[in-house]
Amino acid sequence: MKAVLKVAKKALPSASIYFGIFCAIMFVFTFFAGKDQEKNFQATELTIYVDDADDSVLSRTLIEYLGSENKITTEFDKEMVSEYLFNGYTDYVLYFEEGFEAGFFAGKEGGIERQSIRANVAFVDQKIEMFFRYVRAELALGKNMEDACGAVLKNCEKQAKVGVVSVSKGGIMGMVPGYYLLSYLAYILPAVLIMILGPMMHAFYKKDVKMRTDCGMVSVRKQNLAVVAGVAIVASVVWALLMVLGALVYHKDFTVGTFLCGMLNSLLFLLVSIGIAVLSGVLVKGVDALNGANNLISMGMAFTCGVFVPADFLPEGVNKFAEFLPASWYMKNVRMLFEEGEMVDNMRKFFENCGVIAIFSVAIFCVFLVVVKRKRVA
Amino acid sequence: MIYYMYRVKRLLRNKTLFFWTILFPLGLATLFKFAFSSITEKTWGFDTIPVAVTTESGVAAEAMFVEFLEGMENDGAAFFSVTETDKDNAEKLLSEKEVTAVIVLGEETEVLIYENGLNATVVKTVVDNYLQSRDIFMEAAMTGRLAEVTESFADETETLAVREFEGASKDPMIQYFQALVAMASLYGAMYGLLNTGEMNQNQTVVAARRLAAPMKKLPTVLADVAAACTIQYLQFLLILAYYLLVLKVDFGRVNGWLFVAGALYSLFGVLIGYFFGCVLQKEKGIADSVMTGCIMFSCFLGGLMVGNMRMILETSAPIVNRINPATLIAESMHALCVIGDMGWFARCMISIVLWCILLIIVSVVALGYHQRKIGREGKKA
Repeated sequence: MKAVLKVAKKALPSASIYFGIFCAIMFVFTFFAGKDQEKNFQATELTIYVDDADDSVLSRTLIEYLGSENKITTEFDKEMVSEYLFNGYTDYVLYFEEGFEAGFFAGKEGGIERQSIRANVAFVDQKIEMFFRYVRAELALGKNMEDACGAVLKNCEKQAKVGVVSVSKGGIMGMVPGYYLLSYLAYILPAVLIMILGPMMHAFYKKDVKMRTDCGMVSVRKQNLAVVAGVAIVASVVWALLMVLGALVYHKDFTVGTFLCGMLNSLLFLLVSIGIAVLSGVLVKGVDALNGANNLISMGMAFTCGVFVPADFLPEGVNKFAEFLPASWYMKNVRMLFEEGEMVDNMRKFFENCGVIAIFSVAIFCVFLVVVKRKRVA
Repeated sequence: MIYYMYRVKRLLRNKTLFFWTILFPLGLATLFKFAFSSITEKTWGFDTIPVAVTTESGVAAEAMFVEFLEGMENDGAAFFSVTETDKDNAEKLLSEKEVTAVIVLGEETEVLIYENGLNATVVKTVVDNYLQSRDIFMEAAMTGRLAEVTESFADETETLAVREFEGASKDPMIQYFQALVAMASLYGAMYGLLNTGEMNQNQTVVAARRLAAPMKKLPTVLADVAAACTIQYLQFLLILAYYLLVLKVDFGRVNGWLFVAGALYSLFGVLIGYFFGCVLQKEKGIADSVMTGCIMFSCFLGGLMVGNMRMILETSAPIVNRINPATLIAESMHALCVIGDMGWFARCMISIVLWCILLIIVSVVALGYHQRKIGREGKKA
């Protein structure tokens, strides 16, 4: 038992790197996580950059018209426009040419250009074209440009009443930090456990070492029990540390119910992670190779199961493939915990998912036992 | 030449380096493709919005409104798919998320949405436009100028023109792939570090044997560098081929300059390894850890973990973008393949060349210092 923990202690520095990454990610999400939406309707605000070379009544009115629901910026580095658009700093850029108002008055086409790489902001084009129709209509009613523009702005106060049925937290992208705590566990648990338990398994199931220990006074049963106890202690400490850290920092994001369900879910995933770690330990030779395998397993599973990028954004094929991985079932439960109303409606589904995770862990342990037995026979 | 060939073989046989410099970037690229390929399409793409239209009891349905909704198009695709139904069914469709919004026509037109978002904003904007247009027509009817207003509304003059985006790729996720090439190039430093370790008699027995061989040091070092650069360049080509042919990443314009740049990236990566190997000679493990840490930090600043990091730094600390190795590599690819700005590309290339010169000078000075130190210690002993 002492020897088991001694090997685990040796692997602590490399595992602590993953703890560091986890803490850094948590720290970042504390600042960037989404805020709850209002119960009322809130228009999605677009960032519109405007280059107004005309500076006329008409151009200023259009800017004011768009500015009522969007964020308008008139001062920006014009040489960087492509970069701003490409990186999503702005959704839409409007360029007013000099003499735009005079051209509009004369019925000329053009005079104003727009640039965007988003296809879903086409409704702004429609909105602008409607604005010009309103102005033409007001002019047709015999008003001058200034009065026509004033009338259009006044007319725009007329708006439809909006009712919001659900108060979602802005989709998965707008979740609270507690959500990220539980979802990133799906990455960090296998990563840390492979780095600690992998070398442990590697050390104790190495052919020469195994033969030497078998020659000793300790029975095989006691040896195995010591390894199992060592694995259980290390895994429990890692899991408890992460849960306590989460509970201390993000307790506001949990109710007692969601925290207990989250604990159950993560505890089952801990079993899966232990299984993956011990299996990697006996299958992969050498610490360097284990490090590589760790990155591929933990990152691969995290990417495909919607830990780093929400499952909604992943291609259908990847989501289907992910169903063969335990982390996707774990993530389904995490998501359920944080989406309003989902847990109440789908309590049964939550426990079914827990069952699937438990089956995964049993299957992995069975594979582990087969591998160990085959190694022993060989 | 024979020495160069043996060195290439020797470096290729190192399984750990093979994994980190070739397999790991390819694996990560595959994961990036899985994870990021649909994000832009799903967040920036245009989809027809399903809406239900219903009326308050006792109010006649407005056929004109449904026609108005169905007539709206964007590049030939319908803006809305409209379902006309009764209020109960419409609300059921909304709660099942079958429709984005329910438009209830009545004394006071109301829009019911499931949750806030861009699609809800689009529906609300269009309904607002309809109500505002209706008001203008009513005012015109009251003032007896309905004909003029109808004529002005029918005016098809297109005032708003479209200015096309100049970039060759419209997918910002490409920046992750550019940063990944930067990481893979900088991982060439591992070959540089291995080379210095195998030329330093204090660190490896191989080095002691190599130094005892009757061969001048400079050709040995040059052959080592050439071998490392060759492998690194092949790895660059392999990653590029994997991006373009297997993953089908929209990498923008790929031309001959990218292959020239790839050779420079490879040399840059290898020289970084030489720099760490020559400066931190005491223990190989320390040089390895410090180098990996520096490369990962450089890649973080270059956008490997946060795609638009380069832009964030450009607006807050542009100097970092001018000197950070990973940013210079990623930015040069962005300038060449996406924006097509050769001036910008040349500036990045010059910065990389300056970096290479600096790394060579510092490595040579550090190597000379350590050799003199070893000589002095030898004399004392």
